Amino acid sequence: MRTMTGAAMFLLTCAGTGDRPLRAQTADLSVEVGGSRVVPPAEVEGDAAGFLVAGLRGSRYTAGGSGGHASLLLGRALDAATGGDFVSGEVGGAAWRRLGGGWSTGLEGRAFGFGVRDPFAYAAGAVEGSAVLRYRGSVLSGRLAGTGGVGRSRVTISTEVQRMRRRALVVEVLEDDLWRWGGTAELLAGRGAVAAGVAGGAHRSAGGTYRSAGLRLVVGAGHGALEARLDAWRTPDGNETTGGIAFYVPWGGWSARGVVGRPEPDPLLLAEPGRGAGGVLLGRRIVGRGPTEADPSALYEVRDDSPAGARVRIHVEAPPGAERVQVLGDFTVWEPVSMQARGGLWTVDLDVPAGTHHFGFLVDGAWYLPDDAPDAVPDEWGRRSATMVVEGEGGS
Amino acid sequence: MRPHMPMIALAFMVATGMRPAVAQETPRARAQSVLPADVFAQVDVAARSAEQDGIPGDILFNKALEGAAKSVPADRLVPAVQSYGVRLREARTAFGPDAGGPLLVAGADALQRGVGANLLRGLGQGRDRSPMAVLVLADLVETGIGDERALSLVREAMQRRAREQQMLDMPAQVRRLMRQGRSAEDAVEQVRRALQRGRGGGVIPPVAPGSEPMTRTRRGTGG
Repeated sequence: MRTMTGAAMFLLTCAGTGDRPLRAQTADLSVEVGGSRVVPPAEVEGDAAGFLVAGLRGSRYTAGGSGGHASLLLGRALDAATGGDFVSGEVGGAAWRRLGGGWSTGLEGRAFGFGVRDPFAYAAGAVEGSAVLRYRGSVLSGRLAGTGGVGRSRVTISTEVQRMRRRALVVEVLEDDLWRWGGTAELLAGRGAVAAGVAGGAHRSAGGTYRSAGLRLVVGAGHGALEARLDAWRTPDGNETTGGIAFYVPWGGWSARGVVGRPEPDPLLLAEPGRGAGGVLLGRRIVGRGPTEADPSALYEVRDDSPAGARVRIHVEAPPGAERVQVLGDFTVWEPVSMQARGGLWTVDLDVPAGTHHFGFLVDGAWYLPDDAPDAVPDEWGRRSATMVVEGEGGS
Repeated sequence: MRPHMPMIALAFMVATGMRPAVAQETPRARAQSVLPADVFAQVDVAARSAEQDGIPGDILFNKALEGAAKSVPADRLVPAVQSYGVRLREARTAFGPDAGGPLLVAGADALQRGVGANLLRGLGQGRDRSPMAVLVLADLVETGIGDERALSLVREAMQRRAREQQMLDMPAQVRRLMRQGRSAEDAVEQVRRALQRGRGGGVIPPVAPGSEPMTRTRRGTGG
């Protein structure tokens, strides 16, 4: 059973991959195929189990990150002696509300299930939800979540026994109520493509108390991402160290996502870490559009809004050799504000009031606006200024 | 304890990268300190005149400050402020007396970019005539989309409660399709169909496995 729950957790984790839209709209459906391999916990006798996996994954989210997703995966065991064919599915969603100043609050939830028939019948299903408080700044980002969930698992073990002179089949059914409640916290710091930080959590569950603390490293490039985790766990069964790497790589209508490492214990399903797991799912989008590249010439992005205005990240690629870049506009009363260099890009985060604003840049003291700046309006002196519209009260 | 609070707030703002854009100074006060006295006096006259016509005077002070920031000679500041005032009045005529400062600025910009006053009037009343709608309309017209087609697309987007980013993406999507060889008409129609399907704003990249969100958003660079 431990092997099965380990396999379930890995596959459910994979199934949930890619369902956390946070920025723009999404509405797509993908077919996925791949494979996975799960090694049972050290104290469990058995060989590694391998699976061929195929399924569907769809999601629909708003630009604010609210919406839902669903996935269904079918697995075919490569060796009936080590594992069985399975089915797993998940339905989940989130609703977010921005509080302003980089803070957001939200509710996240999911329901998931897993079933396998051989070598013994095992099925588990659960629902869980979280209330989340989130902060995103230019350097720091954090997340505090309170989580609760309930579920049920059922194991059916059939054993042939010799009774008198006849063989009989003894069926034993074990059912467990599953539950957990607790919380997690995470704090990351970083600029540009890389962020690192710490995370931890504590949960009470049907199996006892679980505590964890660990490190995170997140790297992003384009629409792809990679995350490395290392955690120390204190579980009812003892101390464990888990960790691994998860990745997502999209290209065109294709994607690859996967994970390799030692999976984390699950306080709700009571899954133990196992010695290792890994797998890759190759996806092909059949409905919807792929990630839309941001307009490379855009000079700002609204990162958070409030009734009175918005937090805006302003960025510009200055001419080579620029030593000092400043932004100025209506929202600074045309007082220059220094920007920071991040690679070839100069950025700054500002709180901008609602309104229609003109702005531009000083590069080493001289007025500058990129030739391809969108929404540039000619001024009265033969130059151009960029335009920023921040919606909110008094903005019309 | 109280004297330490500003330091704590400052430390928090530094740590989190927060920075207010709005200086304590008003545009008028800053103009008074930045501009030569005679220039300020003339801008002040123009601003007061504009205010009598229902146009916030700060808009004109900001225009003068913009010129000063661009190192425009003082003698060219006042005529520019006055001609800007004329465009703001045109925009107010097009939008009506209820139009606020942000809408008037967007309208004056649209007029400067070649959008006719009749087209601005065509945006109608209420939500249809938000500054964002005016900005996108001007961008579409500048891209070479016909006036009526551009107006129709913007009105449809607003009626469908398109989000801010969706609105801003529309002209870029039209330009991208035109670069791919589509005619302006086809490009607008494709963007319109995407709007009707409710996915005009593109999609978010999925993220890697794990219990927490990641990608650029998690690193603090997204919304």
